[in-house]
Amino acid sequence: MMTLFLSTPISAFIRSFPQPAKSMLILGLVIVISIVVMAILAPYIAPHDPASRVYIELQPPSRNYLMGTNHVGMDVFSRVVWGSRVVLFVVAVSAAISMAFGVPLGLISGYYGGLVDRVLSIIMDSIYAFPSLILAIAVAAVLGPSPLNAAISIAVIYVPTYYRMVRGETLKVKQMPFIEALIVLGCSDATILKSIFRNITQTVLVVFSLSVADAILTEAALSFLGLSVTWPTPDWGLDLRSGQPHLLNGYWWIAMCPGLMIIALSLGFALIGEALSDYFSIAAKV
Amino acid sequence: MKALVIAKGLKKYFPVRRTITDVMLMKGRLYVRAVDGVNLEIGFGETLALVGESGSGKTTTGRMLIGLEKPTEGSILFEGIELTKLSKRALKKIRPHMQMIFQDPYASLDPRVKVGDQVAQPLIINGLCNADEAKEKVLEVLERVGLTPPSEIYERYPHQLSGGQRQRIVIARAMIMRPKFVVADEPVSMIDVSLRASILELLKEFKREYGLSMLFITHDLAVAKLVADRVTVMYLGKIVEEGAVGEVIHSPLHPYTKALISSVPTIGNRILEKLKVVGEIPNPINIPSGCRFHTRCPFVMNKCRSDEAPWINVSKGHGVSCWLYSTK
Repeated sequence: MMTLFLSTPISAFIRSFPQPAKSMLILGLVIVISIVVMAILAPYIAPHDPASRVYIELQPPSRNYLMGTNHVGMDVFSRVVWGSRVVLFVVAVSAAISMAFGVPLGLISGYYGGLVDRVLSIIMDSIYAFPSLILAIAVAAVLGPSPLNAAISIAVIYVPTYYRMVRGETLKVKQMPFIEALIVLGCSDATILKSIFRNITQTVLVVFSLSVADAILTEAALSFLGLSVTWPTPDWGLDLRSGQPHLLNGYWWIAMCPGLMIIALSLGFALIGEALSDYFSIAAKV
Repeated sequence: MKALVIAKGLKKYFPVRRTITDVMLMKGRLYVRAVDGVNLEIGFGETLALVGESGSGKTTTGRMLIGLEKPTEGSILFEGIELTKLSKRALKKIRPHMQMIFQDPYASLDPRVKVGDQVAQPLIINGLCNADEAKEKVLEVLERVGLTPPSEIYERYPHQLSGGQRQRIVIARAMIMRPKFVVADEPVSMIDVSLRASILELLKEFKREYGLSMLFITHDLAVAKLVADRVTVMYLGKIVEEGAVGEVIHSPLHPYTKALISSVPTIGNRILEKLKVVGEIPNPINIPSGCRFHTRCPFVMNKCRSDEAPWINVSKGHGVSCWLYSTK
């Protein structure tokens, strides 16, 4: 299995990274992949029903209840395992939406320039000017609490990030002689845009990793405020909130366990993003 | 029709970005006069070398002829069709007949696409043949430009080829359409000296075989001598001398041409006296009055500073723009 992996192009790609980017990338991949696997295998990993009372409340971590129980006697470990599904769903949907808008708009804006570019830039800049969390809260509050609405409101924040990076790279790539060669050959705009896109995928990848790292924290904040899933659905941000009143009484495990998971997942994506931006020497700011 | 490409009064001014203070002080817009009234004719099957220093506007001229840049003023006739007035769509129809070979073989190929597919691209997008026929034609052309074995080269990516091989790919891509007109923008300046002659030879072969007309842009008169039939010397956006290649190189008229020839390093004896020109090409935002070469000319006269030199045909097909040859 290991030797099989070592012969793939992916492993060759990872091995071509210089240190310390290589260690960052590997650590990030390990964290993210294990959390994704945990989410997929949640029914097999979680020992108890995450959303019902299974034991005496407020019990500290023990052999049967690895992360203890919460204030209504639910198993915190099972809730952490199942909660990863909500975070990953919201983050994946929001990234897909912001990419679907940000990337093509950035390409069009950078390639055509002129009035289209001006108008789009002004719209994107004005979205970017808002404090991102406040904007997400406002959008989520208007749409109502649900994971899909949370995803939409998070997507709104990151559209300008994709847009700005893609537009900038498009401006750079557009002047390359191989793009001018396509114009001389008589290629259609669609062919040329496709060719530009092929040459900026690494930028999209970097922006994706870094913005997802940020989006995880935003998602946690939204569900902390009750703008995503509703109790008793297991979710890290929501559990952070339900555990918070008990923190001062010494029942630290209720909030601490999901909290550390949020940090770990966000860190994982941030490490991947930083390593990639180092490797491709792309200065991305999210 | 006497020539394939006729350019008349070609001008390209690039506006200089104004700062906020410039706008508030109501300063007028400044322009870089990259090309400032150029007349060119390229006959059927003829290679015209466009020679000049960097900043003389030769690349901009080439880009205008190929339709990559819109002229500020002037006309370009290609087979009698006025290119400057064509719509984007109509221009696309003519594009297959005009091709360009770029200077930097490392930047003119898409790093993410197999070189074979890049050579096939013009055939497919112009709907000339299907994928299988295209591949066959590409293999033919690859062999023709000296890339063997072609089936192996086809599958390579640009980074797996050397600079010389890449330039052969670029030439193959331009030639596969059997164009009538090719603009070659310093095609050998970034290629190893030992490989230059073979690339130039390749271009000459294509020219003979297809009877194509070529605008060969270069700063190197020695290269121009190898490929061109006629030479046009450009200085600061204007043509200063034009003539058959042998005549211009062996009996140059304009002091600037003389200086360019003096700057070509040679081995062995040289018949011409060396002519040194001092300084650098002036800023094209502030073009000198009168003859634009007067700031660097060793033979400068009073008249040169105030009046632009007329075009004087010294012998048939050999003209110069210089007061030294004026009889008036």
